[in-house]
Amino acid sequence: MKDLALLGLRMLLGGLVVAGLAVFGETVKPKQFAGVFAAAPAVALASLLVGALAKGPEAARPATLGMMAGSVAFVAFALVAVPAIGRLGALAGSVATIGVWVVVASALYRLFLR
Amino acid sequence: MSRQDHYPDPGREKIGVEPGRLRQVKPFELALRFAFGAGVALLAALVSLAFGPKLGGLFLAFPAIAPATLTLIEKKEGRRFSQADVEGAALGAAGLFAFALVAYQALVALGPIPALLVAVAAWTLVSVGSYALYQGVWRRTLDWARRRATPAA
Repeated sequence: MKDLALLGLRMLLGGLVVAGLAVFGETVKPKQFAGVFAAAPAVALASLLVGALAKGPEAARPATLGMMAGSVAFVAFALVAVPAIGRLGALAGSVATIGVWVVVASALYRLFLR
Repeated sequence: MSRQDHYPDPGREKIGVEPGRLRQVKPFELALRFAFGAGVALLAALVSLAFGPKLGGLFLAFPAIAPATLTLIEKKEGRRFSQADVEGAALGAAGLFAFALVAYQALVALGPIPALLVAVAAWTLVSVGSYALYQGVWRRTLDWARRRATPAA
């Protein structure tokens, strides 16, 4: 029961921070600067905060190792997405480029974290 | 719907805030982002439970919300603005690495709340700092190269 409540709290906080940053991003210019906030640590902040407060900081620490690998994969995703969106459009280009994130994140996980 | 064909040039356009643009944000767009944020938090938690926290941690830097956001930008402002947004996201993602590294080092040493505050500061420093570098050094270098390539008649 406690675990379900914590999961709900992570989801609520994650959603609120993502939506709040989206509002902020809408008002900021130029567009490249607004885009910086699309990769803000919204979900990470909510998840790590709830996890560390509920189960202790030592328990939350391993997730940050995975996050380092995920963030390198996110950089690769964003760099490949720029030309992909130019060719395929925003939806098809970015969905196809999620594959780049999966490949890079899996490779880094297998090499350094498993 | 306004579509602009010119590419937003960060070397010419200064950083600023336009509060009036808030009126263009529709409740559906906010609900969509809330749902994606909650969904990614759920995904990271479920993967952590099933396969361990390191694998779950990967999803704390998963660009799941990007397709929805970029599609909304393309519809409202055009494809080039969507590309510009994801260019900026590359810089923000570099900051995510700094956030995770600082959180890893500081969580036990400082405790959860101070450690995460320092980690957010690290994200801001790296992502906004790399934007300033991108805007200043890179664009000025390109301008210099352009001037060299096309000397005045």
